[in-house]
Amino acid sequence: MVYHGASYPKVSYWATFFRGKKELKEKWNLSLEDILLSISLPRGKVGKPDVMEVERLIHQEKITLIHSLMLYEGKKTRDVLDAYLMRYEIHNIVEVVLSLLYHRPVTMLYDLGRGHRIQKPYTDEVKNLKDVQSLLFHTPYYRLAQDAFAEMERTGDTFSFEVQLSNLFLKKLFKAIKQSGELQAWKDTLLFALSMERVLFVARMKFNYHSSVEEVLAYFPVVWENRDWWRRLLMAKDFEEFVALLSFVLKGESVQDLQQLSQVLSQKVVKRLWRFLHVPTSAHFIGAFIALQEFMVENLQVIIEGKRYNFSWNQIASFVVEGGSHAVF
Amino acid sequence: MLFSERLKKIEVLLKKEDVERVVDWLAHYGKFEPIPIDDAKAKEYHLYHTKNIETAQRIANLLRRTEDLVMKMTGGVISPQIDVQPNWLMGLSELDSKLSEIEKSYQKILEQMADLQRRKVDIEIRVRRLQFFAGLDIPWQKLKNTSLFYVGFGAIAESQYSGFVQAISELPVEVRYVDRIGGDVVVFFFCDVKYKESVERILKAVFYKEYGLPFDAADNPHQRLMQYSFDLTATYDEELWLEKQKAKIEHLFLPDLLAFFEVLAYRQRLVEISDEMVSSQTVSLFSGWIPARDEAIVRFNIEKITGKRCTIETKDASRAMIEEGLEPPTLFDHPSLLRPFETVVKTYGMPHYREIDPTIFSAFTYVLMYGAMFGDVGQGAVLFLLGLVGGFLKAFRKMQNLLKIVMWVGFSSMVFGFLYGEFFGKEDIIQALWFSPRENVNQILLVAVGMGVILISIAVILNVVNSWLEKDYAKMLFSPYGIAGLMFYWGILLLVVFLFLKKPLPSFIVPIIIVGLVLIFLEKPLAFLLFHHGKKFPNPVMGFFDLFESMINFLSNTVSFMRIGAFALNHTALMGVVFLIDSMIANPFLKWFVLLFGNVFIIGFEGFVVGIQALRLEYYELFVKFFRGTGKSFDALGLYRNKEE
Repeated sequence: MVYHGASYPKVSYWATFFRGKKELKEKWNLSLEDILLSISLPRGKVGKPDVMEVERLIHQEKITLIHSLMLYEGKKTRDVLDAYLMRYEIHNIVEVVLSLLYHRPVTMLYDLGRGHRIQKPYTDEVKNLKDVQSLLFHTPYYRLAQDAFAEMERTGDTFSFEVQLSNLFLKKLFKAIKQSGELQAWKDTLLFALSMERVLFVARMKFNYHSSVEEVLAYFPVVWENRDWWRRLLMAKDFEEFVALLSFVLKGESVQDLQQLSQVLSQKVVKRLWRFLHVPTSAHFIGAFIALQEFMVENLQVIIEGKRYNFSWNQIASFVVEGGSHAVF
Repeated sequence: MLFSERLKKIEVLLKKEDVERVVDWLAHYGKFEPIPIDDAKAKEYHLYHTKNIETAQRIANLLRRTEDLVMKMTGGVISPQIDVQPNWLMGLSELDSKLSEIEKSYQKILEQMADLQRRKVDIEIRVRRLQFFAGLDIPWQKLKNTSLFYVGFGAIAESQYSGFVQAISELPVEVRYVDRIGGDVVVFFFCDVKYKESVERILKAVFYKEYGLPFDAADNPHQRLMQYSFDLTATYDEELWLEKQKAKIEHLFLPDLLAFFEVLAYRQRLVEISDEMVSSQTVSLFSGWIPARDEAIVRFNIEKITGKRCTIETKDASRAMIEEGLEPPTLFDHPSLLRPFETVVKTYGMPHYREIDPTIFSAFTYVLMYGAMFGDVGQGAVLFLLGLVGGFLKAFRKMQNLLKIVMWVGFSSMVFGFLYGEFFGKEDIIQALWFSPRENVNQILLVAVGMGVILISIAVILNVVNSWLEKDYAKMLFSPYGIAGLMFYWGILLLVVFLFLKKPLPSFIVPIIIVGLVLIFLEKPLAFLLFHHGKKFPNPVMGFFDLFESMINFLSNTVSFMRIGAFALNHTALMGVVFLIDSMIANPFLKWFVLLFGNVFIIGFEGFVVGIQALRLEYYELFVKFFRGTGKSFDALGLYRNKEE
């Protein structure tokens, strides 16, 4: 039995920062500057008027909270959390690569703390993909970079690289979770959220880019449990069949298009995970919170960006995920 | 020696451009502890705090890069033998460029090694390809000019292989798994050419690398195989050469990188100090503590650096305490003989600036108690030599203080060994100069208690002095460890001695005990009435508990010292067991082995236990009576990071 008693009070407190739509709408009525100044996160008020800086800080908060949890958790859970940080490391790699390929400045890099190389100040010296490859030396991404960079430089297409990075992340996370001794807890929470993310990825590939079945299979090998279901999902012939296979999540909710599917799935994930936040005896509450904080940050980002580009509340409301106990009741 | 070094507070107002050089000198001087200047003081001079965020960030980044490189080179295990010689004058830009150079050359070697590995795998796959096709019983050479089939031989990274298999199984493609070589899965496949496009899409997704069929080697596969084996041998040679180059770079640059660490940490401290200063556009003000006797040196040097364009004010630390409410740190200034025992004191706490420094007391009592408990000329000499020789060895550099303590307790053991007449547990080799504990059990226990009485009394007297220095007169006069406690304790001791000797009691003893008891009982009310301690008149009943507790404490503390005698007896008894086992063995070789092992065991085990017991007596029977331990250590601005052992 793994002990998580020291983390539970922290997580319970942090979860209170996941605002419901009502509270976010109240915020929406403020000016952009006031919104920025009023944003408070578990570690304190952001209190800065600069949009980019605030966005960086709210995203960085995810890492800070994970690091904070790692201080209070045992080795096995720490390994899972460490594996999860790979997600943000991958974000940094992709961000740097895209900035080089499309000659645009790097928008945001996570500060991952000690022991990680794909972050500032190391990325400051990077001038081309060869430098990125050097930077990735002695990391699990190096081999992939060796295989992918030449082609990427030629075509500018990073899709395969991104997907394979994501596969690498999932593989490492699975391994850590299997060794944690709490497979079910993570499966119910974090892996569920990640699998829904992957479902959306597959849906986009199939119905936006009209990729063939074998292409989808090559990019998204069935490594999850419930292999049969995944196989049927990957091979679904049309959107209706795809949605029908998701009935256990959608629970009768009708979905017409991809955008709607994305919104409904996000809400369903939040609703499902919220109740696990209050299971202190296992890693349920940690897994749930790690997944939920992504939505929490996403909501804040939607509000900031919506206000910044003068959208109305009605235009952005559907992109805001209902949080807090409103998500459940 | 009875008090820590007398300090002075120094305030320097100087031109901004001189700050760096002055602070740099102070760091080299090594006995300056900066004091943060508060806003009120800053306002007084119309100055303000400024933070050098950019430099701090730059230093943090450089530190991170240096740490990363050191980790790569050493894997976190750094030999203490490396001679680190920091160049304190090195600027950040110079350091940055040197660090970049090292990073580049090291990275280059690592990449060359990685490329080499890749090339090796590449050759191995080509060799495997020849073997594979040589063993194939189909005329594959005919596929060279075919337009009906799409054929491939290549490698896929292991991590992508499952995706490849799942996707390709959806198509009518014949796939042969060939081998797994260096993280790659080698496959051979063929299919109808009409599926070429679909297959290519899959291959693209999994970063397939095509090697092709070996048509060019079909006629003479042996010659090609020879060529590959030659290439492979060359890569092994190259690998060896690169390994050597890598080791050379590590050997050459690791001391530099470790020196960078020191320089960066030093620069970081300078930035922190600058942050604590207050400045205007042209001038800066900083303050700190310095040893009072160095005032002239500090003044002279700062004036020399600034060309006398500065104002220096000094103030005695005691005055700064009263006038500004500052708490000066404690700076020890002991002769080298006493320095190892600072550790014993610091482990308990740091004496306050105006408190008696207990180092000399603890050094004397610890060595004395240890020797009394472990009196043996031979085993003491072993400990003494261990401490002496260990002190000269570089490998034990970090244990210098401990080894010096071992040396002194060994010496004390030898002295007591002569007094007890013990030599490696034998009592018939040297004549006891005093008495043998084994033959005089009562005497050794009485001596131990007597030693306790003397030490407890000294501790209480030290508390009286400390309370007087603190101007806590109530504590000095009425507390259980003050004059009242001393009256009670000595009164009881005299009473016991006279009763024991069966002599008539002098008339003053009982009144002394009663006065002592009454004063302890009334400690808090008296402190309130005479010295205005506390906000309201305390409940006098509480005095009863204090009284009861102090009576019990004095009794138990005194009895506790009996362990000194008990351990002296214990030593004899343990050695007796060794001799008993020895006497039961006939084999002369085994006899010597038992003697040797027995002695080593007793020196190690008993020596350790006695060390703990002496420390326990030091802390719990003596220090608690007089040592407050609430001071803070003098944290001097220095070149090196704090290297507390």
